[in-house]
Amino acid sequence: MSNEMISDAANEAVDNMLDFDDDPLSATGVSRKSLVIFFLIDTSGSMKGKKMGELNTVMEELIPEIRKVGEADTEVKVAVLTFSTDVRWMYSTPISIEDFEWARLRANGVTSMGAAFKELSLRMSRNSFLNSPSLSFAPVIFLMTDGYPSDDYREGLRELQSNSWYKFGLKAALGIGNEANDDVLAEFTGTPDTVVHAYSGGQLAQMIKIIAVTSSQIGSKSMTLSDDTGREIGEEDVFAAKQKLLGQQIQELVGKNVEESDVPFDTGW
Amino acid sequence: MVELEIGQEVEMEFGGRAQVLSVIGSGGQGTVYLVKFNGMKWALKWYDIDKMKNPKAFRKNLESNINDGPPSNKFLWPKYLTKEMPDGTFGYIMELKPEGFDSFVDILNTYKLEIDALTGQAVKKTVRFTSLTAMITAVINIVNAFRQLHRSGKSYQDLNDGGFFINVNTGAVLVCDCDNIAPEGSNFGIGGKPGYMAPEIVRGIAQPNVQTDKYSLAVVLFKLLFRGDPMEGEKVVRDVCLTEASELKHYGQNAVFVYDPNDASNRPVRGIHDNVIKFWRIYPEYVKDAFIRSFTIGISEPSKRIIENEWQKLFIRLRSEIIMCGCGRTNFTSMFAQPTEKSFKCPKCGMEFSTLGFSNRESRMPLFLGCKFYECEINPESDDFSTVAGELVENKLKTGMLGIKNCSDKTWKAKMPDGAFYDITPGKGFPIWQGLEIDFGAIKAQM
Repeated sequence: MSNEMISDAANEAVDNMLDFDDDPLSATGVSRKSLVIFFLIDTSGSMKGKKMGELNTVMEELIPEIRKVGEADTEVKVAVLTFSTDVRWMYSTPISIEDFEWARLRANGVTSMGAAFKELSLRMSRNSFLNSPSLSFAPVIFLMTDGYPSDDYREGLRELQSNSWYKFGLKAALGIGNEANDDVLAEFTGTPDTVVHAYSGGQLAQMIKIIAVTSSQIGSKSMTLSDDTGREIGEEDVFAAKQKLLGQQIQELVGKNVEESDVPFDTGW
Repeated sequence: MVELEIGQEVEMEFGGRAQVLSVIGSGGQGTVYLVKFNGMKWALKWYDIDKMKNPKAFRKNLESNINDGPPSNKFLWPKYLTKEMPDGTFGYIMELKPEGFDSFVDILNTYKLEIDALTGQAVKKTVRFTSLTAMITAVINIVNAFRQLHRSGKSYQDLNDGGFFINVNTGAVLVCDCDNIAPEGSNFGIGGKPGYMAPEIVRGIAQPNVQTDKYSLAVVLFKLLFRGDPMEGEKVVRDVCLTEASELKHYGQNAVFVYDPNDASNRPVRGIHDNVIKFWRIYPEYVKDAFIRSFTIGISEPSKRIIENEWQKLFIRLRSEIIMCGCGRTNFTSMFAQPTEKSFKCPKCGMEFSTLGFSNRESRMPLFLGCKFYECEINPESDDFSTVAGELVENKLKTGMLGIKNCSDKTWKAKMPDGAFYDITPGKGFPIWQGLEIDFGAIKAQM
């Protein structure tokens, strides 16, 4: 090799050192995982008055609490779908919890839950609401309703059940007042453990907070999968482990927090 | 769990009461409160004993850790236990994190959120190392802390990004969350944090121990230097979402290092893992080789994982290979041109750097104004990597004349241009020149 060739090779090596930002201290944040929390909220006419007032207030208060949950490892986003006669998204895409502002909801119309399930299934896709390029946790889906669906909810649910994000997602539901049917809600969550019921304003606020905070805590973190050692664990051991944990924690917290003295929703209207 | 109220008083084991002032934070095992005890402010960790398998054994282990004391002053160690409440709940107090330290998590995120108390609005503040030396010093400090811990016969068990505070100006490190530390061979219920846990723990076939600590340590070091997850690449990102089953697969049964030389299935993805792609180009081969070993053969054979002492030597070498060029470019020698065997050249401004070769190692130390070497580099008996032994300075009386100052407490011998060796007593110095030789005693150095 001639001297000229050696120096060419050396020059190329030097060029390679400078063809990118080579500062060992300039880093961007470690790529964070993302979590979308979907709130499905019944805004039919029967929610009017105290229920909607309570719901709007608690949701406003809830946002700062969820903000604390994700900050370290996970970017948390929120999407709100309301359903009455029509279905509507509060914002056209999921909004990062750091920037999210609650837009107060109004109640009117009938309970098109099936249509809401269909709309959710449509948006829970890589091509739509779940398009974050980095790694995502399975979404949290939280349904709140005070009545029996006025459309064919089963057809909508069937569609939703074929969506992989729904299958892996953490599902919880809150029935408000006497008209809400827990069996319908359990069909949606897949298990009665993550269905709770609120009969009064105080309970409504408590239950929303318990479910939203617990599910976002569990949803935004990886689980320590194995507690027992000595046996190699398999996929079946960890299947739906988070959903089970959510059920346990919700039941535990709900048991402790029931306030008897509140005036029920369904009296005194 | 029994939460404490603000203003509530908790009885301490050996008398006195700690008064709860506010909540600092909460984690998987309980809540940390700011408390006042004996006129001073402390942090009180208060356990959710419902989540513990065996609170009695856990408390007993804490008690013996308190009695043993910390392995060094790098640990925010449990100080005093509280009395047990009637239902068995208890906690312990420890010193508060001193001012000037940031959490490792904030360093990884490159910012911290400071909440405005009035508006509740979160404001982002940048968190980053102010010098490359500070960052590598932090790495050495982390490695050394775990070396000290393991030498005391204990393992940390829950090593993760939540366990450190770091001073980004000096590289000083504080290890916190020391309550799961247990004698080698014992475990009181903690599994670890996903992403940091050794694959054999994820798979359920091992409990946390010194070997699994070594795996977690390698993850911590990788995250600090390469700013990404060593196991998160193309293979992981391709999954629809991170389910329990996919975590078991990617971090347990089939964990593949993003730069496994024999398996390209999990390479970092541009647009998502840009940090890792960039930094993998910057670090020298011997650093990359250590991570390759940790995350390939070290996955299946815990005994082949890098031991702390080896990491420590490797990063002391890396620190001695930093060049701060006059043009403002700071980098490792691996990112400088090498016109001759004994010199480096800045690819940006062309400035050349002479080097010093030490008799006990092959790599040469670049010389520039302000560069330092440490006790452990001139004394084979010494483990002291933080006391400066020598520094390249400008003569205060002769502007432009550079020389090495003896900052140690021993007398060295240096060869001067007249060919003779002169004694250099502590505090004195000597000019650098092409034929310079230094005799530190057991170790010698040459330009």
